[in-house]
Amino acid sequence: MKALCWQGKQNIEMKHVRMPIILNPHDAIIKVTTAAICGSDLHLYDGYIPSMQKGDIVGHETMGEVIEIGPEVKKIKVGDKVVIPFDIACGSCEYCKEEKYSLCDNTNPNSALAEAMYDHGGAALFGYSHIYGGYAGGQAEYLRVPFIDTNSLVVPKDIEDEKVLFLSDIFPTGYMAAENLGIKYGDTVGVWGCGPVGLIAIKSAFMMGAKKVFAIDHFVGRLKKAESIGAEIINFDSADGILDEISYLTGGRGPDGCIDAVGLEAHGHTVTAVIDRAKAKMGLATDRPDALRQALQACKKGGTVSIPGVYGGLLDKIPFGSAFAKGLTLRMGQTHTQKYMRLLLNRILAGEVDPSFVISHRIRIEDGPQAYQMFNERKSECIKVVIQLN
Amino acid sequence: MEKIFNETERALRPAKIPIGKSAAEIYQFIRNPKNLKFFVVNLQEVKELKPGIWKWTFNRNGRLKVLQSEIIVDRENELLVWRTISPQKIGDIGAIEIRDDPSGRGSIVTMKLGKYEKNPGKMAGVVSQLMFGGDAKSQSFINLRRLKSYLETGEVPTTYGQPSGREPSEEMERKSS
Repeated sequence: MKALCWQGKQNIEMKHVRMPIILNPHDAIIKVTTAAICGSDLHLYDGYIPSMQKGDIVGHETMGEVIEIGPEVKKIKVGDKVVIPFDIACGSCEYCKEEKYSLCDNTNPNSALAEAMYDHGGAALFGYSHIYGGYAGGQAEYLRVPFIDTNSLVVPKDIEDEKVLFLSDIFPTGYMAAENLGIKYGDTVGVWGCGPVGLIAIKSAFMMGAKKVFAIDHFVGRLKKAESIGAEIINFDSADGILDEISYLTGGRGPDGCIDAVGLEAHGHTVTAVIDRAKAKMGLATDRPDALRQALQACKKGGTVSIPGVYGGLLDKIPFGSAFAKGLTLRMGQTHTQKYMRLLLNRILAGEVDPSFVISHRIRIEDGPQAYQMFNERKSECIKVVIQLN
Repeated sequence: MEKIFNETERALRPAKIPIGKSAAEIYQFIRNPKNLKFFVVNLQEVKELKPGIWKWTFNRNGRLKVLQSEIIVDRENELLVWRTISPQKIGDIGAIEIRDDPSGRGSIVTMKLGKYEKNPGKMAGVVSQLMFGGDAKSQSFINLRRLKSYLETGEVPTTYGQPSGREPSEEMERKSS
């Protein structure tokens, strides 16, 4: 089968590899019909995520048709059209029982490695380094899915793939990011990052009752997209002091809640952003958290900062004194995707939301290597890349 | 855990893990030698030669290693301790202790590999190296993780056997044939 493989920093190749097979009794094999490239795949592409090995198949936003099931699969049947969540959960441990699926205890065969890095290991992820289990990803013609009964959502066969594909990651991620704020009707929300997760978070914030949502970015194409869905946009390239701008626009109070949908590869022109880049280039820092710093500083007293943006290492110069003095609540982590998939599918089927608005490019898998490069270099025009297979 | 290990072996700290099963379920599972292969790394099989005497066969990348052990402590639903008796010079022991989880969510299981107090020997952690190629605490942790997964889900997570771009591609294979 054809598969996109990581071959080193900024090097993705399409290779011909073996078909996946059933390895455990709760597995299934799906024939992938549509997949997507995620902004967090670019962290792999840029070499920020440790423990990648040349030849790893990437991709964690996948859907397709079930073609084979293991002997212990009870609910899913061959022929089902399914969307696969990016996090792999067992459905049986204490975390899964609490619907905290991304914290699952039982799916990462390399949990000792994750514990060494992060003190405790959580769920494995598809196609996202050996710290997260080393599972082959879904930017391929076929995918092995462990615990398919837990890690799938059956969708109607007549629905277009693009309308439901993002239930695999960015729709639950943006939605959970907004839910974590505890938005009350009339609230003001600030969203840093107008990539797909940020855009979905903006949409979700309005769905939850926010009256005003500020969208902060500097890619013009992304800001236009945010504006088209109702956000008030702030281009930090032209704003005269981003924190002063937000303070002014919120009457000096600050947003009720702030979402950092940027993560570890923040861009920016502040002194701290410049220092971050210099340190990262010299190998003295792992992450560039300038968006997080701004979110913490901008948020009103007693507010909440929600962090769906991926961080991987040790962060420097975080205004924790400000966060403490203001009594902020911080909520973060990988999405408990399985918890939200059916809820959000129902909203799609009811016509309340169509997450396919984020798609900017559609490609064949053969174009994957060039698409990664384009996505990395042209973020203004390139928001979401969908791979059409089979 | 009671004083069975040589206390000077400071490196042999135990590994602990919560498992969402009762102490009785866990004890019944590990007390049956046929079940150990389901979670112990590189373990091919365990046979009971006579009551309390077990023969362990490890297979590491095709290389077989055989040990014999005797059970020296067996407290139902609480503690199981093995001591290697063959090859005699090793004298290492392994122990699994089971306690109720104070939070009421199952049990806390502790695993430890070490030197028998009355037989200090020279080769610390030899059993661990022989069987697993790693240090005792790490291997205890890995085996406990696998025990937890097997008991809670019925399988141990694996990616062994999955495809990758490191293998010869189908296209290359077609060309070469």
